[in-house]
Amino acid sequence: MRALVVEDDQQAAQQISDALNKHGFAVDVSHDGNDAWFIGDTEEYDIAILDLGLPGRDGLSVLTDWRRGGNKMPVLVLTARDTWREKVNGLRAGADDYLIKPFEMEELLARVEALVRRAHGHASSVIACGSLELDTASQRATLYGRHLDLSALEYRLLAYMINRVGQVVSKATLTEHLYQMDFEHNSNVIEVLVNRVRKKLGTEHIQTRRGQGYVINDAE
Amino acid sequence: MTQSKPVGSLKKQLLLTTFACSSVTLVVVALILIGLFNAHIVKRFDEVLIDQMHDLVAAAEFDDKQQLLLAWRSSTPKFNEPFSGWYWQIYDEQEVMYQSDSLYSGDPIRLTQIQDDETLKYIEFTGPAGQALRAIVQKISFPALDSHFHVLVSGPVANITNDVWQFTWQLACALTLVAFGFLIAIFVQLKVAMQPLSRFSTAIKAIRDGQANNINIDVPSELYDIRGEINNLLLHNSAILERSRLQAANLAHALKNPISVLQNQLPTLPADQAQLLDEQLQKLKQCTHTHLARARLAGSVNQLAALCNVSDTLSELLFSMELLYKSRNLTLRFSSAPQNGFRGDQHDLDELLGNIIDNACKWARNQVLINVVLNEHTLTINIEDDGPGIAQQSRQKAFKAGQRLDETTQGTGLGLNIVQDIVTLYNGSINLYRSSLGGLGVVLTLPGSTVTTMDTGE
Repeated sequence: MRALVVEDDQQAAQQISDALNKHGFAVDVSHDGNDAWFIGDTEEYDIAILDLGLPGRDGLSVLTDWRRGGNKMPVLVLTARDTWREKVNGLRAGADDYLIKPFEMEELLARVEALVRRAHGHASSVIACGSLELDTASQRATLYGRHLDLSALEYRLLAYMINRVGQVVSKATLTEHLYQMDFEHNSNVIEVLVNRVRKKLGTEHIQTRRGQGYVINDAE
Repeated sequence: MTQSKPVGSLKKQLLLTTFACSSVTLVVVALILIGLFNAHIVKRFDEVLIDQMHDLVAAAEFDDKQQLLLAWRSSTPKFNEPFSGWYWQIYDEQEVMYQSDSLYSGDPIRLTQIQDDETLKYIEFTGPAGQALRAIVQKISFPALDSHFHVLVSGPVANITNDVWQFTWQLACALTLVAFGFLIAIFVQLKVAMQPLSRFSTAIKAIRDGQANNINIDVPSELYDIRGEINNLLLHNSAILERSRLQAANLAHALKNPISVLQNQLPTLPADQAQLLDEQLQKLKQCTHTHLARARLAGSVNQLAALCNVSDTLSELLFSMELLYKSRNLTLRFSSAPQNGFRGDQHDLDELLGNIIDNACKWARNQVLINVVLNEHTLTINIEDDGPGIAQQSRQKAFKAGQRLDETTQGTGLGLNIVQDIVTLYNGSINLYRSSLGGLGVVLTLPGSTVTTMDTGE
């Protein structure tokens, strides 16, 4: 899972980014409206957390342009603008949720969680794939009810793929969604990661489609 | 805002003063005219008397025995008519020698005393038939013959007074007509003069109804400055409002970011320090929130041009609520006629309804229903949910009656304090009840009006 945090305050951005990182997201941070628009439009994100008062370009116009360009990623607006009119305008511009500062980090994480889940059509925080279950709220994975000990990156891979059961996911897509922008892209890294996860899950869950990528299924 | 009652009416005042002035003028004119007419009539009357006297004197002559003879008798008919008041007499100290036929008496009596004076005298006395008479008397002397006689010619005073009364009556009629003409002229002038004023009020009403945001009518030079001042004031008012809101928003942003950062840094601190900081931060958060919200409100009280569309506002708010509470699968519905309008500021209506509906959505199990009714100038809004509701005792506590902009009360965290403030600002009312859906019902009454154009809701 990959998140974009657009926030002009460096310290606030750092806090959010840390919290999301702990929660299983690869996070990119942007402090400027123009920059945010560009990377939001060119990179693949599973969610964007967008402040409205930004230097360079207002958050609302960034959001409007994303939506106008057909970008459907879930966007959570995180702002100090707390009047209902501003809320209405934010949601009209295409925001999926609206959180007002000051906020509790747990609240933000819960809402991010819900948005990502909703984007993939899951109603509950527990996503099941056969005997494999993933609780996105507590970030725990279980196999036949047994807890799986996963690293942050392994969890991220599993979380991304379990949201797309039966779909073929290419290595390039995985690289895009699992790593931050500054990561040195190397397809071997994905292979190694997938193999590590397979060892923990058993090989039947994640299958390789030669030349295309990987697919996860319920292995029944 | 307390406004004193209007001090009289300009129209009434103008009418009264004009009427008073013109009546006095007309009466004075009438008196002068009557006086002049009276003098003229008296002069004419006296001329008749003098002519008669000259006629008599010319006819008088003495014979050889110094007996007075009248060569001819006056043929003026009125002096022959019995007791007409038109009399003449020629007499001396001893007897009345001749008199007019109108006196009709076999035994002539002098009508008045002897005037031992040769100048012409005007006298008034009561005649034999009880009439008031006006007469001239003169002693005519013939020094060569050493003899003399007195001549008296009289006429009825009623003759003069009748004429004057008749004239007065006619004059009164004519002047009343003039007065009526004046009145009509005043009315017409007032209508013309007052027209710009009434157009002024119409223009101000249009602003109040939200159909215009300045006074845009042609006015005469006397009202030109006033129009300019009012337009400036309107512009100034909304400029101040905009600026203070912008400043409040800026301040909000400036304060909330650091609070947010500090708060999220707390978990990294030792528990005892964190607790102290957390308490202080909560207070700071509460203060910024409530005071900024109130600062925004206080600015919107005196806005003249304020009318917003309730249906538009509700549809936008419900659109937002549906997104914010998407995961809860709530049914949100409202029923409101498209022309229902709130006589107040859009921001205030947004906050008022936003907070109440948000609260309803928080507690609702499946649905939130909103119903709006506009009755004359009162807007009644019902917001009901099917949540757990509030117990009777707590309901009373939720809003204390008459509480306004109180800085000491802490927010309930439900935004209900600000709701109470807004309702109080607009002299409205808010009451809680048990909804037929099972949850809490909130009924609001607010100043309302009909929105005539659809685009005033923004």
